[in-house]
Amino acid sequence: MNRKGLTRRDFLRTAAVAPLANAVGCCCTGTKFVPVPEPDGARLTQVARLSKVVLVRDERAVGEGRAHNPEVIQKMLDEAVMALFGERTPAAAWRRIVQPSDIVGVKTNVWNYLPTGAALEGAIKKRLLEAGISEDRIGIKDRGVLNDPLFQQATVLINARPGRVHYWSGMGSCIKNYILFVPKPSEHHGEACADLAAIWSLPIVKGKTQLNILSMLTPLYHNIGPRGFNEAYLWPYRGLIVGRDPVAVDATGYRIIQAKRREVFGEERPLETSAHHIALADTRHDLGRSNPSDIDLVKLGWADDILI
Amino acid sequence: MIPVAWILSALMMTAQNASPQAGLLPEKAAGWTAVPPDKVFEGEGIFEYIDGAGEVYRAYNYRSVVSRRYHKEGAPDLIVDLFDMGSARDAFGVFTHDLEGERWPVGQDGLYQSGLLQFWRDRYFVAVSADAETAESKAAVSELGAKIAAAVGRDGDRPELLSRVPEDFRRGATVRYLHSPVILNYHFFVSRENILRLDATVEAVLAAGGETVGTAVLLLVRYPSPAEAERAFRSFLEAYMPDARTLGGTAAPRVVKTEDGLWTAAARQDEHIAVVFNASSESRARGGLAAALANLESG
Repeated sequence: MNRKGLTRRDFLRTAAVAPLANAVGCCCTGTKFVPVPEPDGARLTQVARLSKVVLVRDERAVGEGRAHNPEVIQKMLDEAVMALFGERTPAAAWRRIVQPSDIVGVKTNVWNYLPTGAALEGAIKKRLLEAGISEDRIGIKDRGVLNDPLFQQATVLINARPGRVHYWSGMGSCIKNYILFVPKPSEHHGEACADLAAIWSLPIVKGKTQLNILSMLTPLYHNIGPRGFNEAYLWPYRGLIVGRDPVAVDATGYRIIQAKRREVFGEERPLETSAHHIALADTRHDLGRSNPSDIDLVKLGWADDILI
Repeated sequence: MIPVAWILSALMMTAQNASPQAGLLPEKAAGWTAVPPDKVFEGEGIFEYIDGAGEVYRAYNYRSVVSRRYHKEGAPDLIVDLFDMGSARDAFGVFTHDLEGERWPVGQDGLYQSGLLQFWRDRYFVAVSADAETAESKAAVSELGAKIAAAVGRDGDRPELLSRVPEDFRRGATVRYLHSPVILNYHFFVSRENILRLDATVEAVLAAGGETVGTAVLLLVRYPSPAEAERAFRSFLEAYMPDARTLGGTAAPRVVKTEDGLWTAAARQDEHIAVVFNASSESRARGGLAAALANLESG
């Protein structure tokens, strides 16, 4: 590497690792070229455990006008956490996530075109209350979390957001959902948000996240225009992806979005921006696992058009 | 510490008190009526509204954006985002960031796709979109766009640097205008560091996909002075092609075969740098560079 940092040519020299990166959205396809993950072969060969991820779907979860069905979504969440932790009841599973003494911040997402939504937020809160957390020790918030006393004191974080393509980071991911835990989010926009995973090492969040939920109820698979949203590019997938490893959750969601794009466009069409922050969260930041072969994907429920 | 939300709110309020471009937006079009209030953002406040793509508008020095929603009973809402980019060159530049769509006769270089009309005119970049595309909303988007273009009143000049792109690189190509290394890397990754020393005082044109140039990509950069161009050229050579061969004297073009088997050639001429990336052969790299340098000279 030259002394002024990585160039296109430095990445060409490491192109041998591109096949791994491509599995989760690297960026050497199409006309664009942005950095691929750095080689980390030694660590990869030592991977022994798999990251468990649960995909649960129910065709009743979303109705007309994108209306969420709270009862069905509660049931989906319960099934997912039970499968994730190998427990037979939601209560037992949630005891693996929180203790009554915890202060719990639920980092949600309020983007007005596709928010996390009250149904999923309510399902999480219900189980937290049942787990013995008092209401005043539960915060559900997106903007303003950095300066919110409850989030500052939180002992547990739960990360819940919709999966969607994103103009600048490729994918609106669980990893990206923590960008509001920094004072100046735009400082993390470099190289298409390549190093978003670094945020997860900051004291306000480090080691606190016990559950990541990528809502795939109505994901957005394509974006156009300044606001990056068009109703035509949502589809009712009616799923939730749940796991402790945010990278594995995001990588799984991203594969589904890629598959949807292949189905709709009839070809491999790269995202406007590569979602390489997911692969780099694995290979550069060691936050979790992005390679499908490192992910134990458990599929529950409705299987039509599952795309993965 | 002042809460971020307060700062963003303040930015929005400041802009609301001074949004002259709102006067360019009609109250009604095609049976749709404006729904108050307008939303106005400036500075980092844009991330409150636009999320990821806000970075693009900041990279083109946007001044403010006013967003107005239009409603018609039983029809999809329409939204206008009117960006004051401060100059015609930046309005054109931000327009070239996304060139997807079908040519549409509204404003300058209008493009339409899936319910979204985008164009630029004078110092403004305009996006008109429908929440859902129907035949009626498509016609309304077009009419609304035309009204705004008429209110702007006059066309802006394209950046002169575009005219220096050789015809071979221009024909059938995607040509973008930019100042920022962030935007350059978005379309064509060069380096993590700003080795070309791009900034708001520097103009660049990136031409890719030309019909007759194969894989080659041309980057033309214009600096405020020859001395600044020379500093940038040295920086680029040192970081990107230290192993390049010189074609002649010390100030002559450089050429190198890169790790993917393609060729890069670069030269400085007065206040300009020209780089041909990804040429399929050395002769193509050299030929493309020579054409670019000749065009720079001709002005």
